[in-house]
Amino acid sequence: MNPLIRSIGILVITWLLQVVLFRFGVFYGGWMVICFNIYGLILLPVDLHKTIYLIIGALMGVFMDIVLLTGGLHMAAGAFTGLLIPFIMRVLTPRDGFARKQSISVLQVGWGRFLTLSFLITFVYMFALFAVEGWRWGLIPRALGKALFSSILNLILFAITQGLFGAKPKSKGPEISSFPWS
Amino acid sequence: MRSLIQLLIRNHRLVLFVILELIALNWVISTHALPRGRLASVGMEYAESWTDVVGRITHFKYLEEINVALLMENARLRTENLYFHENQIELDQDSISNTHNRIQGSWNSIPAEIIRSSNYGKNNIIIANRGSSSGITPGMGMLDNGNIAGLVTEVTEHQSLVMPIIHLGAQWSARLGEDGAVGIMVWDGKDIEFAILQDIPLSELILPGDPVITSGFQGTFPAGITVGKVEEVMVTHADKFQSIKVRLGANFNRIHFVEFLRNTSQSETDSLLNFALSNPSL
Repeated sequence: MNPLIRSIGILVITWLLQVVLFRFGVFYGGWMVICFNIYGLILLPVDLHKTIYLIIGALMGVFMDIVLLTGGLHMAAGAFTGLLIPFIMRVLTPRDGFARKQSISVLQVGWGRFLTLSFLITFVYMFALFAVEGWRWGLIPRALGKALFSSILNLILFAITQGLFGAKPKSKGPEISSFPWS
Repeated sequence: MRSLIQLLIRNHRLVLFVILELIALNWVISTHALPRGRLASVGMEYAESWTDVVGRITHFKYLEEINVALLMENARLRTENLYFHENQIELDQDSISNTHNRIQGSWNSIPAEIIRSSNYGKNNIIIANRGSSSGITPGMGMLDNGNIAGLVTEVTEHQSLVMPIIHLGAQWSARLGEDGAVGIMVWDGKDIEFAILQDIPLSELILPGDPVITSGFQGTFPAGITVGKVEEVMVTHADKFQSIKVRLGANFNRIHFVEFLRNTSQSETDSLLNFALSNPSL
């Protein structure tokens, strides 16, 4: 399957999950908020044109705003994240690069790089969301705090999802070998 | 234009981002009350500050006209004050001597603006923008904010030369308070804020802060015009007189708008003086 179509499919599924299920995931007076749709953004293929990230981020935000009646908050956050995703990926690129035209996964890049990338993208999205929601310079520290706690919660959720549904290593064949020393 | 288009194409991603954010923020503003209220208040603040700036500029534009109008008003009030002051003296004296043939309202004032001034020499001069065409004549006194400042020595049609207090060649007759001793005030050439009042008897009790006013004997100023205040009493015991350091009321650093005092009965005084001079036997 075309990796881009597959990623768009994942994005739609995460969007649906967020709209149907995780929209109620608001804890501790709004200090911890689940935004599962960000997982779809994280799993977009690397090496896409930079503008596509921006468009996809903004469109995903538009659909979120339409359904959740959040009036442009997710669009602003999605566009901001879409602008920064290429920079974040460039910073965290491994020495031999990401697999071209493929989504990143724990299997490819390891847990450390996956979680760091996920945390940065989630933090950027959540910060933009809370900053626009607060609409005051004085609430920026509060937005940073909310973004931090929400990012931690989402990161745990993404790690569980990645562990359950992420790419698995290919089978090494039968366990019994005619050459047991090999 | 072409370079602008090229610039936009080169930064198309940033331009797209800005457009998307503007759309999103517009959406936020239209659906959330808080941003709308904040924007409205910020807009009002800017509108107020802009109106304030415009108002200040307009006010500044008319400041000079207002200043001249105030100066004219000041001169009129000072003339009226002098008139009433003299009438009060006459009334007091009339009640004793019952004479009614005194001169009334013999002083009036003419506003002017200083166009040249020197403060740093020993023989300073001041030039005002009014001359003989405005009724200024040599010998008239000049006031700065109600304090004596100088004496007209020369006039042209539209300008006049003034010898200020801060001139080494100038001598002024001044009195300590309403009923104090009269002395000669000179400038020692040191500080433009102070002058020296000489020939005050040692018997005179003087305290710092006491007013120093004109005696009116010179004919340049009426009696009672403020000269300054006593700053320091200097007693040498070399003779029976003491000197007073006077803090001048006139501010020569900031002198700008002044008034000239004209004595309308000067001709009568001059005729009497001429008579006295021509008859030394008197």
